Amino acid sequence: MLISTKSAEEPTDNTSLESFFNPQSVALVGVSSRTGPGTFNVLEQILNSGYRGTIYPVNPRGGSILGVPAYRSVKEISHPIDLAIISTPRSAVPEVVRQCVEKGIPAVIVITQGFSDADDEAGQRMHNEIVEAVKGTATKVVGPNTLGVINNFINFKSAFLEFTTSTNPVGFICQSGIFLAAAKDFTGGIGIGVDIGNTSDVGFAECMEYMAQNPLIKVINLHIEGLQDGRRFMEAARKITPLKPVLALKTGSSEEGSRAASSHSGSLAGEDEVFSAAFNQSGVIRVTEASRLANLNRTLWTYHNMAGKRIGVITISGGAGIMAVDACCKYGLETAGYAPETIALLEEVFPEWMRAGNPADIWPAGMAKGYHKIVSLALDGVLADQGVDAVLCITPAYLDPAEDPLNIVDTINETAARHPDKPTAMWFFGPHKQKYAAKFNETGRVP
Amino acid sequence: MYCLSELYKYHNMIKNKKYETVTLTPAGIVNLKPCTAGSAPITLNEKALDIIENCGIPVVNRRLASSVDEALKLGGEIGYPVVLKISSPDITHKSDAGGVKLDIKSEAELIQAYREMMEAIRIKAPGARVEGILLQKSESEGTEVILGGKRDPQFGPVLVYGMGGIYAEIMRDVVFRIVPVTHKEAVEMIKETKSYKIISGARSKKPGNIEALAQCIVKLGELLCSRPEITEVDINPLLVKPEECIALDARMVIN
Repeated sequence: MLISTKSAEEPTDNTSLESFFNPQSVALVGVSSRTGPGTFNVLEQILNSGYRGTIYPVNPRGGSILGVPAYRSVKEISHPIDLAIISTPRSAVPEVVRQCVEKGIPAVIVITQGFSDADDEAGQRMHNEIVEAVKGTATKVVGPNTLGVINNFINFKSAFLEFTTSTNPVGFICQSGIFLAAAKDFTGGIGIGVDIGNTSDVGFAECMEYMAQNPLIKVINLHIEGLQDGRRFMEAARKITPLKPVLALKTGSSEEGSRAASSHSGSLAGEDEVFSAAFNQSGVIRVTEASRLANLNRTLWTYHNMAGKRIGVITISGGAGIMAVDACCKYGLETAGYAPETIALLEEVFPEWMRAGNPADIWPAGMAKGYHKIVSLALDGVLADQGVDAVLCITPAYLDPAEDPLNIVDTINETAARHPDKPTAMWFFGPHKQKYAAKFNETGRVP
Repeated sequence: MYCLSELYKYHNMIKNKKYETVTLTPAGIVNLKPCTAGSAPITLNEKALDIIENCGIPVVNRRLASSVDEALKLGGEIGYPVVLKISSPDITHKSDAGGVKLDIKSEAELIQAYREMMEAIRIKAPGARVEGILLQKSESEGTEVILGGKRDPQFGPVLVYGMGGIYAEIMRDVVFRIVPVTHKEAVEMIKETKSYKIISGARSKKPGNIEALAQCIVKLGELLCSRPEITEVDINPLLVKPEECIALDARMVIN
């Protein structure tokens, strides 16, 4: 059963990419008759992946591959085709693309390499032939030089490599196959993804527009090496970022542009700074460290608001609390000043020698009166404070959560659930922090 | 904390944001025809000031004199003190060639400076075509900033704004915007730089006119958008004064 991502009110110009991400029928052109490990057979990968659509292998020798009857050419297939995946030798690609256009196939992925990425003139010439073949037609091309698309919601991958990704409500658009194959490492997992490769036709703007109107996608991630049309990108981003967060990882900053300049302005504005300006002007959040992407994705799809920048910190360690306050300042947030009622609530349980404030070090009270009880009381009080917009809870992960008397995941979840408008984030430290983080993720919060 | 700060920024600064559409106003009467006849890029110096003045950016009061007598007459009209600058299509670094004289306070100083400059040019830049000597009103009070633009291969025209002066490239207190920009965005640009504190009146200095500066930024952005043949431009310095902003010097590359 296919999950349809179409919605009734979506504008027609964006549905053109639906055939790439949600194909009912797929032609595999240039699929090898060799199968097994090391053959990189895309048919074998698709058959093993659990995809439920119809597959039509195309091989000039015909016959059948892995038990699926093969056609000698695209034109021989009498059924309608949503998507053609081309992995023939490069010299055959332009002709196959032309045949796909003739047959009215709406979506074509060219996996084959050696076009504008090649060092010879023939590559560029054939790239132009592909551009010409689809110009003004209803056929769209992703690639060449691409791993193609992934749609984890329907177990569909156009890739010739085996790789696993965990399914998250993230849409990923990248310019290099590695980012797609390693999407889990970079983004924490994706729902749909596309490697736009050399971009002979479909580029960032169209893919972003598609993901913006796909209700299964909550956050959009981009891996950008360069743009063909920066203004078209900004125009699309300005429409999308007010609706869904778009995060960009920009790689490969060249100084070529500024080296050629002869004025002050020219030499001051390097390519990388211009990209930052463009992102800022169109609401795209630039992520400079890939390692931050996964957590940021989770934060953005988990919490639906954060009204202000005043942070309450509840900590089991005074030292960690100070670090949290430093981090607040570093990232432009503020430590909340608590209302008299919140202070009174905390001081009632704190030892008499300890003043209550932010950060609230709850360990002395927790040790004396029960850690779970004090965490719940303090978190409830701080979240209820009108002067607090979000809370960071700091707790140890010294022992396995299953046998840890300080496991407060359930306590936090129950308390935080009473204040759904305010994000409650966690900082675990200790050897079992990964297990704690995973447990917390399951319950829909961000460690 | 990083994630929470981005979460805050997204929900408070990006989500539901309405982007203003900028309608370009015609950039004044700018005649670039004589410059674009050839195929090689051309660098403009004095002419660049005329072009930016035509697009609505205030430029220092300046006149070209082709003789000492004419210089004396113009000096009287502009009012002392004045600045003298050599006007030559062949001299880019004027001060290196002895082609700049500052703070000329009287007719006597003017006569002497004029003769010294002509002599210096003959020695340091022999064969240079000299169109005359430019007299500019000497502007003192204010903060010098740099305002410029260039063309990015991926995003097209880009504005550069920041701290001016000889250390501009070392300090790199600059911000960039893809143009066109709105007045509001121009004000944001100014406030993003460290030198904003200097312009807005640090150390008992009179605050500069931010509104007028923002207006210059908007105007230069419009010029870059409407004239694709301008590939690079520097207004350096642009003097931010309490009452207005004045371009004192400019360069432009036309291609």
